[in-house]
Amino acid sequence: MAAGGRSAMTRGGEAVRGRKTAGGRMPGCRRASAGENGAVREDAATCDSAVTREGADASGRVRGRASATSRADDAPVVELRGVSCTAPDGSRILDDVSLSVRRGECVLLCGRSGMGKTTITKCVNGLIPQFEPAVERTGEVRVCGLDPAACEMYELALRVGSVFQNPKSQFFNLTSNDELAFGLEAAGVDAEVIERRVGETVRALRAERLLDRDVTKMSGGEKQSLVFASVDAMGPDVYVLDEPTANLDAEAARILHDHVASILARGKTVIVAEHRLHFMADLVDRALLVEGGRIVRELAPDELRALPASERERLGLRAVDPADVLALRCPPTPRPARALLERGLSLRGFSCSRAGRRAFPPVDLDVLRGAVAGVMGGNGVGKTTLLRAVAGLERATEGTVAFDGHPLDARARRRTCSLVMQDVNHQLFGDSVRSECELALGGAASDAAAERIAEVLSALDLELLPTRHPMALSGGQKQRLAVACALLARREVLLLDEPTSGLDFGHMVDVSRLVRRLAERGISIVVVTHDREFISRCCDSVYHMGD
Amino acid sequence: MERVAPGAKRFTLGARERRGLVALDPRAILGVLAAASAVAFMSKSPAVELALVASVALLQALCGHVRMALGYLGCYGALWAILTFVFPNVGGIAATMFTISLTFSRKVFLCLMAGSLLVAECSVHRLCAALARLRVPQVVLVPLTVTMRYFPTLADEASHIRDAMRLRDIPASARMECFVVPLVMSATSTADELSRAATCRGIENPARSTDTERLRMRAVDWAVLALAVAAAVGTALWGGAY
Repeated sequence: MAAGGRSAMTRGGEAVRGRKTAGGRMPGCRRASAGENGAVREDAATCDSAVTREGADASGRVRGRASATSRADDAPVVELRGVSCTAPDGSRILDDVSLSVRRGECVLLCGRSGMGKTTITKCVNGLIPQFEPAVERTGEVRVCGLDPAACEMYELALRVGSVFQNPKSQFFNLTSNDELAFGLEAAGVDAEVIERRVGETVRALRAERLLDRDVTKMSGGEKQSLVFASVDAMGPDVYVLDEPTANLDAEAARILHDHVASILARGKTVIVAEHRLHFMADLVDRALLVEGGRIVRELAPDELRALPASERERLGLRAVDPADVLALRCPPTPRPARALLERGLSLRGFSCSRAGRRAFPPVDLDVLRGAVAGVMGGNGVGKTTLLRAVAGLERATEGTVAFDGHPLDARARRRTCSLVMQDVNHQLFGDSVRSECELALGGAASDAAAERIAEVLSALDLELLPTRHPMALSGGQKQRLAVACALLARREVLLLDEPTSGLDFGHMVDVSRLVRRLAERGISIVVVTHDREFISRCCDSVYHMGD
Repeated sequence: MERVAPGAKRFTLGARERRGLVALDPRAILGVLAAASAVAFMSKSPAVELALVASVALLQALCGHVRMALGYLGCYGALWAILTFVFPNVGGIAATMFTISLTFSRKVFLCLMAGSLLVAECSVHRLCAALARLRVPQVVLVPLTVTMRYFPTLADEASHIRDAMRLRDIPASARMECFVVPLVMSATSTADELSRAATCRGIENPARSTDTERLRMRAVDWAVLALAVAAAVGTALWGGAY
């Protein structure tokens, strides 16, 4: 277990050598090219173990260099020594974790959900114990010379920048300029200095498109970029990113990747917890596998890449190789015939308009009963609007939606389709799992109803939780409960909006199995997603929007 | 000198395009609002009231909100016409009820005008900067900022929940509860996430926060303020009775 600490100490020196060979990095590594400020980067020890591990003479040379640098640079920026966290109910969420991160390093925390990745990030950015005093933390944590438990949060804020998962709940101002200034403004920095620093940040991140914007009109990806830039403007030494791309599409994730490359090039330290490994694979110096509250394994980037698929999946990790992730093993939907499907969902020339403009180009699509169609397309192409329109939630539609050969108006569609929203919390209304199901059945409490509820709940692995409050369920259970309601209300078309955002490998596979099982019940399923691994696993065909 | 790529936008704080002939400091408009509130409690003759409404409308127009000014003048005219010509000629309980509410609207009409001008001229951020300059304590400012920040999110979430309800057959008796419970739940989690993010960005810093709006009282602001005070004092002394 102490591997984390020790190896960082020994490899910290090697890190210095890493930068000499920076030119010879793996192809596709953006870090070297994104750097605008080479000078800073030279000072900082940036490590790339993929390169440094090869030479046997490395350590000797390294030590020479390392001792020449100042003592302060030598000390780890973030150090956890024997840190354990205990939840109020007595369960251990972190168990004797030791971790030492050097200046300029990029450390990836990976592993299944609920294993302690986020808890480690919270120990670093001070949310544990300052924001969650009920969690008892033992052991020693030093971040830039401060103990997050003992110092003030605003002192730590100047040194540690945090980016969280949900882009919606991380900004405070309604214009992007005010938001970029927010952190420095709270610290009382002169307006001229704020202008200069924000200008530098925006230039370094190539994020000029973020200036002078109305935040409420930005896409999720742009909001996350804005949060990143606002944090960067404060100039922290350590960046703690907790699943920053969970809600982002591929393009937005790529932009965030370039932001991370840019700060690494400036010698900053990054600790990132992430499921989508391919997003960071070329930037990380080492990956730590977190399981059961412990760091169980340390992987160099090439080891991470070389993990055989079977082992990677056993460890609950998503694909590492972008080529794997982006591969689509699923045929495109065939061009439908003119005639409507006799058994299934048919869209013909279907579109809808918002503010007088078409939200997406007309869609022709057939989904047989028992079939699953994936819908892909870049940000803002109108995928979610398509689902809403099919479900009968949009006013101005054109074209036809038909089921089993009968064209349906909006009202009829609202009674035929069910929609599992990206945020399932918005669609669960009952005060227990059972009452939620009864609500879906129209409130009838007969024996037959109880029998159907029991049948559907057990089919969805919810039979043990009938008295739980829906809000006390896990994300996956909530999703399944929403599906249960759809089945109970005998909906024949199931529409799913990004059902796998932020899920680890195991949960993604669970959802794909669930979708296949539902299809076997003879309903037509449409899934909007940007998760190609998921599509390859469960869709019969893919419709590309905006082509 | 710093290199700026051609066509690159420069980041400037507190800059905003001027809509009309004058651009007022939020504090000046707050002064007008205070004067309007004071005047609402005073008795005044119709002529004085008309003059006051006209002058606030003129201020709105000078700030570039010509349509707003015309709208308010029209509304006031309609209100006045109904109260003077219509109601005296129709009797009954309904007329009495409406007379009371319409007279009350006329009383607060000036406050409404000044308030609209304030909202149209200043963002929440600018207003909070002005309040901070007026030494309003943090305990008032921080909740105000967060509340104003939360409204757009609340509207967004409410519309999602309404959509989800339209897709289900919810009995009418259960609709209210079905709407409020998820809304409160999501509000709680959003509030929690927001405050985490705010804390991690150092919102608790006791240092006096920077006035990034670069507020400055110019001559025109002082003039507007002086006129507002003069109008309030004048109305109190020679406003006449009504």
